[in-house]
Amino acid sequence: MNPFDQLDEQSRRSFLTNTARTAFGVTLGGASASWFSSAEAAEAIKNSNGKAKNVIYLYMSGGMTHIDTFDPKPDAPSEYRGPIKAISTKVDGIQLGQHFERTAKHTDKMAIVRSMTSTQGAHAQGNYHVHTSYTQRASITHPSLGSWANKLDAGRLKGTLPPYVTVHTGNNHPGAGFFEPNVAPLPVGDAEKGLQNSKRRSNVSEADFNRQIALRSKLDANFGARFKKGQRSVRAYDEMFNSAVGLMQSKDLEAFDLSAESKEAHAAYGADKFGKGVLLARRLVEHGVRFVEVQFGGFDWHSDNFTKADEKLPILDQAYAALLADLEQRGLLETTLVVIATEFGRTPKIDDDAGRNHFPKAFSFALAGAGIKGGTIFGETDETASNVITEKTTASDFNATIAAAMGLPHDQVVFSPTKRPFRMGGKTGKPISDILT
Amino acid sequence: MKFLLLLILTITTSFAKPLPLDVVRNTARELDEVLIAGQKAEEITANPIVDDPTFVRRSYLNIIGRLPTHDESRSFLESTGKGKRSQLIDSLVESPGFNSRLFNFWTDLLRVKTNTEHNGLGWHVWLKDAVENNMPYDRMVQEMLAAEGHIAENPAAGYYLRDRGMLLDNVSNTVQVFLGQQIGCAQCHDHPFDDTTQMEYYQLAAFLGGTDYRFDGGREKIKETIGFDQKKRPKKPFKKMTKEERRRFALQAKKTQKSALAKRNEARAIGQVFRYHNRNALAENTTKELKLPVDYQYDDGNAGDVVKPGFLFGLDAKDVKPEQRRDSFAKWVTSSKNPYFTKVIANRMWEYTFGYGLVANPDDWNNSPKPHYPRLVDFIEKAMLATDYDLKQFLRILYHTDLFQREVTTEEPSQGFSFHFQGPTLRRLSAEEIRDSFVTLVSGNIDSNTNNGLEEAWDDYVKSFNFLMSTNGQQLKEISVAVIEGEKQRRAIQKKISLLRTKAAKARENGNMAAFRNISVEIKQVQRTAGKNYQNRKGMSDNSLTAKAAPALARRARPNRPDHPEFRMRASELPVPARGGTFIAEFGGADAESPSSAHTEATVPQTLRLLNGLETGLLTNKKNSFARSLRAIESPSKRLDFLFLSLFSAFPTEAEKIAFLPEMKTSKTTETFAQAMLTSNRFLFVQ
Repeated sequence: MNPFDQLDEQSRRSFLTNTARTAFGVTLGGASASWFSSAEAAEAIKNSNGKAKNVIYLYMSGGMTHIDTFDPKPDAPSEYRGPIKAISTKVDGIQLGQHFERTAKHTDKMAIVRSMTSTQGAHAQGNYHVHTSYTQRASITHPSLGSWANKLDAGRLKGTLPPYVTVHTGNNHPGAGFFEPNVAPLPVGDAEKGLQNSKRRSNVSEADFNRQIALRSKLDANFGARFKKGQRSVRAYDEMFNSAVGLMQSKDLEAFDLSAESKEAHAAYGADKFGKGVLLARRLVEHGVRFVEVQFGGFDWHSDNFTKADEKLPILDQAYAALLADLEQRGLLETTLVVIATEFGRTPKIDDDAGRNHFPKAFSFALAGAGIKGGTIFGETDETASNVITEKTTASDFNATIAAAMGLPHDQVVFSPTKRPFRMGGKTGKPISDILT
Repeated sequence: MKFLLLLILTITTSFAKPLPLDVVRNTARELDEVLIAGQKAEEITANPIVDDPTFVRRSYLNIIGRLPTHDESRSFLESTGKGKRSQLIDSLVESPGFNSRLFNFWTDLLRVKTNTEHNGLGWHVWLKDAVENNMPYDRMVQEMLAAEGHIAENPAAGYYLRDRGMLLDNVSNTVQVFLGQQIGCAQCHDHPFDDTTQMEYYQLAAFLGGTDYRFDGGREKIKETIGFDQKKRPKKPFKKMTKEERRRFALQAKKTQKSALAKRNEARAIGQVFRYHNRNALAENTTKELKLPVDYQYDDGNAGDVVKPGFLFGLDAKDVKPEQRRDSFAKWVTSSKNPYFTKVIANRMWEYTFGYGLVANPDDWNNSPKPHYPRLVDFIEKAMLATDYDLKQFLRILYHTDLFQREVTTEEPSQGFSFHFQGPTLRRLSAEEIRDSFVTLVSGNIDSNTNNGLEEAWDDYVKSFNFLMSTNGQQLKEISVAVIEGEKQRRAIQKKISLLRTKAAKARENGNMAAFRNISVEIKQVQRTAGKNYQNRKGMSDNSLTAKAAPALARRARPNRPDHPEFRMRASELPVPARGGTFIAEFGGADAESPSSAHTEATVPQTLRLLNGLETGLLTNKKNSFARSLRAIESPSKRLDFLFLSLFSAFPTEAEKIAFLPEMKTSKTTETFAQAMLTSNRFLFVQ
């Protein structure tokens, strides 16, 4: 037996005993469901018809306030609701915060989940949990949703375009987690600049370039023989090298080029960096990228909540509404799921600095487009948006819903290299069938 | 542990001097013995000792954070001296590159942001100074955690000001970074996996419960110079006065109304001078206490209850007076009696040297599996204590171990599990290491080039602050007039630009691109003039008074232009975190959002950058010294030597000569070969 396997097995077991004792009180496989996807998943997939071929996942980093956006409480005392008013929308009975004027015209396409709840009240942990369905542990990095989607249906990994692109994300993004690098996201640092360095330098001929590639593998022959098997990072660099070379020759490269978009499109999505990111996401999806995440940072409003709302929310409103309109007009909304997520909500009670603090107990997410029953509100919070009173929904449930909309089994088990079982919808996720078409 | 004892004795007699070599060697040997004994018991065989080329590359990268130049590699490889490995280590540890790599470690761990505000700049400069002077670790942490006051007087306060308004997050990070515990969850509820309860979390945070992010000096200055106290309130609150008292109060107020109003306006105007100083100071408010949050859900307290300070790990906090809270907190964290303080940094330094923690999760000891060699953990803890938290000498001991000279393991450790340390781990170079290696290839050894721009800007700020605090009332008034005038001008310019922008957008919408371009040019002109005015401090520089005060009046820190171009300085000389899109950011350099955020994950844009980007272009660009030296070598075999020494720190083997000499035929083929080397894993990884 390979001594390394033995080593892993030993430490794995001691680790499991350790966590089992201190954490869950269960042992591996004990109380959990079957290893395979269930009838429940099949049912949920049937409900949604697996319509969502692509996902655009908009992530509001820092913890977006729920009471000022998707869960307004016009009748709450002023120390809760603050100066922001609720506005009516295209769908009777659905109200939004006053900054969502343009979004209000699209509520017929949206399902708003007002009953999100979590126990993760710190940024890094909350962000991780929402992206992966798991809580952050030191012993493993779980894959993010986009990597799950491509792992569970690897049939579309063939083209030259990457299957998963992240735009404006930070260093803490879990990426492919323990999955192999072929489902890792390609990060775009600045949407407006697109994918830089994707063309050969002018003084390098194609023959020289090909020669260079051949020489590289020759130079790395011994190194690779020694390390490739045991080192994921070495495999990852080879994988990325091949993808990069493939991408350079791809005719789809223009998918990353925002300058090909009309000035009307630019104007519609907005001049802000986020607007450009959303526009890029639309372009990428159109070219067949399955999962695109765009982050919008700076929602951590511990003070001056309302000044910041005035600055920030119109940018979100504009880009989001433009995206839904644009997708609809291009006939892409039927195959594209658009998600708005964040790590947690904000304390409904306004504090002395006119701020709102971290609030994982209740917050809101939104879904729109493919597989989603538009014009729906799911779940409810109390009169001050402080407690979820119906349909408590966890990040796992939410992610299971995304899986179902994509036609993927949310409870299909995939084993980590350390032979532990994981699922796209986490341990407990159940798709919200009420909002799936 | 006889040598460790010797180490303790030596240290106490020769504080803060480099340890004698035999003490370092003997301690390192004892460390190896503890490891080997542990490995024997587990039937693990240590890896063989590496050859010279691997050693020289590893030493430069792991000790000073860059590749050796081809001369440095050659001179080591050709030397036949007996103690050459030990000598190389000691010379690297004493070189400026040592500080460079260690400083990158600190800015990543502590989430330093240099450029946002003066507190970031001041903290950066302070921290750099602490590393360069090898300030003992316990003192460094103590100074940051006990810091209060204005950043100009105590730049260590940058540690708290980094998280202004987010005290609870700051506490979580403190405990993670210095004590290796994840208690962030307990911010909102009892920790699900560990023992920490939300109450304990709040008790710990209560030590900092008196934190006010404000500068008292401004108010005091106003009081001192014009005799007006903004904070003064009537002795008896208005609400509690009797009818008669209220009447008299109102009458008195009416009498002095005019003069009081004038005074207040005067105070307000002068207050403008200090308007950005509240961002750069913290004060201890002895009457302020931390309270339980509104949604507190456990039986041991009620929402809104005041929380008394209390330590973690069962240590007793006797009655702490309000004014001593911060100091007690700092002392508790850094006390050698704190069960985690010493071992956490020892383990971090171990990871810094060998690529992986002896305790597998340096940020989360409670969720780390048992280390394979608990005796070794004890040993490095004692060694850390024995060196009196002198990180340089501690690292020197680790570099002198046999372990540092062993071959890396072919299999990576599995994340979060204990590792057997048959040898160090294979790792990709950090973003800064790749960048700095490029810089060194292009410019040679530039380790001692410093970015004077940051220090000068900081010195200017401190000088200017001190000047401001020494002015009299008349001078202050004059300065405030200039400030208010400057603000007016700034607003006017802003308004002008925003009007022009609207106009430009309209022109663009109407498809009038010529007009659009004209307006854009106009906007740039206005901005340029405004910038120049700012630079020349026009409107403020009518007299030397305002000019002298200017740096302390500005909202943002603006580093001066350094003497060296960016590409002739190490990464550690640049502001952190690296801006998006820069080489460092793209290769996973820290983004300063969470502790140790730097990573070495592979991405497609990294590869594209290596294939086609500016940096690799530089190496083959004819104007560049590396490319020039390469071209100047006439013999193909010497060219191959040059490339191998420069990028792989090795002479080519016989087989490699046979395989690659043909590539040296022309300068073009040589260039192609050099490009291939730069994208190879052999270049990107260190064994």
